[in-house]
Formats: sequence, structure tokens, C-alpha cells
Amino acid sequence: MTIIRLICSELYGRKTTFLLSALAVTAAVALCTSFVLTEAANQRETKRLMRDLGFNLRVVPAATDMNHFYLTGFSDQTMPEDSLDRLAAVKNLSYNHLVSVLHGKIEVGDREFLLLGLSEERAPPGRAKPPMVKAVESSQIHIGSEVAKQMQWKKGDKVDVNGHPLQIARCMPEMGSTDDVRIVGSLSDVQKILGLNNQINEIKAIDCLCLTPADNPQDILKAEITRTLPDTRVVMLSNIAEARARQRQTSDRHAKFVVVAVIFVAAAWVGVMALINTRQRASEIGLFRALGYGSLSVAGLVLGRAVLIGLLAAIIGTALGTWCAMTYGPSIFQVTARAIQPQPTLFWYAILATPLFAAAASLIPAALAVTQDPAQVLRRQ
Amino acid sequence: MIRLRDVSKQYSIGGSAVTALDAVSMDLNQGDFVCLRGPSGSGKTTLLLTIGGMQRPTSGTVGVAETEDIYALGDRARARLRAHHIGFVFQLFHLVPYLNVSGNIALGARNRGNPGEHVDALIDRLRLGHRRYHKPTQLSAGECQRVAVARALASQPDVILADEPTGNLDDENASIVIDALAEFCRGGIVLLATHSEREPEYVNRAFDVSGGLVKER
Repeated sequence: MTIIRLICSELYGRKTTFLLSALAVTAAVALCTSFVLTEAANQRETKRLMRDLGFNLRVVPAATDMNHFYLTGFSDQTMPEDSLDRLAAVKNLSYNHLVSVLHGKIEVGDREFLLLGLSEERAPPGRAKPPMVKAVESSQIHIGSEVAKQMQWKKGDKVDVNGHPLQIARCMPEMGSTDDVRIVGSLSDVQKILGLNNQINEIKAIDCLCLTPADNPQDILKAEITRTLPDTRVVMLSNIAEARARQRQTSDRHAKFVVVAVIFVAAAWVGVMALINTRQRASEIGLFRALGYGSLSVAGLVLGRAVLIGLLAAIIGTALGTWCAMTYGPSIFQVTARAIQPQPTLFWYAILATPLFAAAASLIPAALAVTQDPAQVLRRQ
Repeated sequence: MIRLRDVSKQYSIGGSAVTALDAVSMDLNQGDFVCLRGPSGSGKTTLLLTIGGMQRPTSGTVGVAETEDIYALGDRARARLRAHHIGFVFQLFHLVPYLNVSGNIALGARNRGNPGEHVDALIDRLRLGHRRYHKPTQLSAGECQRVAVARALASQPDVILADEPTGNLDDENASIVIDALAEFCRGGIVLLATHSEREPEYVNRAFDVSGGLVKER
């Protein structure tokens, strides 16, 4: 009778311990699979939420009056529009989502509003990402809720802003911030309205450093930017940058913790079940010894059993985990649900790794089975 | 075919030394049906396990078949020797609970080229045909012991070491078991340990075991 046949007979004969062991590994594989499959969506969702916190890096002309900057929210100085091109051309920088901005105050009727011109979003070489801000098309504007209310403007209206005919493409909902009194247009339109052709007064960006404990991210970013744009000053919105970095790091740590915890619990469970099984089979193992089974065969009985359980758990677990991720993932990660896709490579990894994992968890019981004194067991009559 | 020279075995139990075998020497040959008689704890089981390569003696040498000293062999070689030359029968049968009668007997025949035929013959010989696919829990004690004897015979060993094989059996089953061992004995050696005063009829050599000392009657 071959070892594999003996193992199969034992698994069939002792269904409870077999099912409990298989259940632990299957649950671990299913959890890890669904976790891995939804992790991409989770990360995208986290990034998206963090991105929605807004730009955390502002590059303004070095001569900016900072009192004015903080009181009004924009620089009183301007710099050439091609500053953005220069910054966007530099490789290996620690920021992304670059946008040129021209800010100013404007009177419409007897009301004063903020006018904001935005360029197309740019990315450093090789780091193109989906834009964070959708650019406003030429001859169109987006208006804040207070602007719409006070001017009684609505979507589709053609309005005159300082002698420039513009169409309202969007009325934004109440934001509870200066956005409510803002008119947003394309950079070129706003430059014309403010009479500041080819000028901007700020470049906004998002830093990608995500906090390095040893370095000060502000120093790194300032050094990088001022190397390219020496006549500028970098203002970092530390709260947003830190929140963004911490959230991403927390999310990463949480993912690692969950996977490690699941694997640890499953390993402990499989190990304990294998130990119980080995103790239960003490006289059987003694008998096998008496029948001439060597240490390798005895270890093979325990480890082979674990490998078979692992193999079965890998197949069922990946199928179950994939089904769970595909079924329940989209309701959890509603915006980034499309990132949840079955990964055939995951199945092959599981097929390779799970039997090894189950065997590793059964190493101690296998060692106990091999070193058990058969004479002592067999004389217990 | 079995040669014991000054075989001693000492255990340490609770800090004090217990002598289970005391300088035992014996020579057994093909056709010997040996009865080892003695009370519980006298050293019978220790002697069987020592001859069977399952328990290393404290001193002395144990020779089985062509091997001068089986404890000079490595673990693998000794396991191979057990598989080819030695069959065990235990009082408590030690059947594998998840294998049927056929499967349990086949365990002993794993080193044979065509075990299926041999297993079938043993099943018929020990009158277990109607129980072929039954599990140990569905068998009587007598049937279990017959399966254990068939398993020991399945490897066609040179020696069968039987520890109280009839201890739990009625007369009819005891007789079947002893008959099967006696039949085997024509071509091999049977060592049968018992604490019973009644000696099986086929026994041609008898030893008294007491306090680790073994004396031929």
C-alpha cells in the first residue's frame, strides 16, 4: 500500500480532523485571495480619497507677500507661464499632478468674486496619472454656489465677465469654503480677463513622498523645486500632506497586519490539528514502524497529509475568495470596483504556496511522529 | 537464524534502574515454535521488541537472519530488515481503523511484488473472506486477531513475534490463530509470549522469563 493511498484512506477515515484542518487553510486562502483582489480597489479608493483632500504643495513667486497670500489665499506676484513646463520636464521628482493657476479678484455687477484660471494638469516624465482636476474648457466657466445664488446664474447661461462672454458649464454645490464665491475658467481665458497674458501666480501639486521618517519632506521638495525654479517659494500644506501620507501608510500597515494575522492563525490551527492527529495516531505510527516503515515514510504520512490538505484548500480557497471579492467587493469599493478582477496568477501562487505552508505548519507534529519511540507505544497494552 | 548474545536492557524509572533483560543469550532456528512464559512485567515484551529491532538493548548483540547485529545497522536498514524478515502480532491487534480487512493485511505485504493475490490467499486461509471489506470496528476480537496474524504473514517473514496473541480470544479463535502460526513455523521461527500456564500444543521450545532472566525449560 503506497503512502499516498494510506494518506487518502486516513483523510477519508478521519473526516472531522481532515475537514477542520482543510477549513482553516481554505478560510486563510479565501481571506488572503479576497483581500489581495480587493486591495487594488482599496488602495485606489484610499488614494482617491486622499487626492480629494486637494493639492498640498503650492509654488509661488519668491517675492510673494506672504501676509497677502495667507489673507487672500493667493499670491500678489506672478511668474511666467512656462514655469510649469520647466517643472514638468524634470525627471525623478517627488511631486505630481502639476497645475498652473492664476488667481485674482473680480467685480461682477456690484459683487466681488474670486476668479481662478486653471491649466491642463501635467505630470513629470513617465509618471502620467489620471488627472485630479478636470480642466475647464475655453469660453466656459464653473461657478460656486454663492456666485450662482447672488448673480442668479444657472447652468447653460451665457454671461459677461469683464467684457468677456462666457458660458456656465457647471454650478458647483455648496462647499462651505471660498470655492462658493469662486468663478473658475480656463487659464487662457482668465489671463485675458485679468490682463496677465502668459502669467501665472502659482503652481499647485501633490507631493508623493508620503513621509520619510529620517528626512524632512519639506526640505527635499523645496530643494527639488527651487533647483528648477530658483525664483520661487514652496509652501507645503502640512496637514493635508501628513494626513495623506499617514492614511496611505496606515492602509498599507493594516493590509500587512491582516494578511500576517490570518496566516499566523491558520498556521497555528493547522499545526494544532496536525498535532492532535499525530497523537491520535501514536499506536498506528508505532505499528507502521513495526511493519518496517522508515522515518521518511512516517514523516511523509504527516507532511503528505498536510500537502494534500493544502492543495485542496488552495483550489477551493482561491475560488471562494475570488467569488467573495467579485460579489461583495463592488459594494464596498463602489468607485473603484472595476479594479477588482480575478487574477489567474494568484491561483498558481496559491497552488504552490499553500501546500508548502500547510507542510511547514505540520513540521513539528511530523518531527514528533518521527521521534516517537514505537516500542513505548506498542508496549502500552 | 536468531542469535542473542548477552543481551541486557535496563530502564530508568523514577530515577531507579530496572533490569528488563539480564544477559540473555539464545539461538533459535527455522522450525522453532518458541513459547516465552512469564508474568506481566517479567521482560517478555521487551525481549520481543528487542529481537524485532524496535528497542535497542543496553548491551549485547541481536542477530536476525544473515545480520550479525541488527543494532549495528542504521535506522533505515533496520526498518528494511523488519519489513522483510520480521512479523509482529500484538495482543491489542493494532489494526489501522480506517482501513478494511484487505487494506490492513496489505500493509504487511507492501514489499511484495504482487500483494493483491497474496492478500487474497491469506484472507481465505484465515477464514476472513466474508469480512474482506469490513473495518476493524465491525469485526469481533477473534477476527481482528486473525487479520493481525494475516498482516504479519503477508510479508512472508522469517520470524513472527507474537505478544499474547490469544490473550483476548475465545478457544475457537485462539485455535485458529495458533494453527496459522504453527503452519508458518514450518518454514520460519515463531516467538510467542504468554503469561498463561497453558502451553500451545505446537510449541517445541519453551523459555521461562522472570525478572529479566530467560531460562530454557
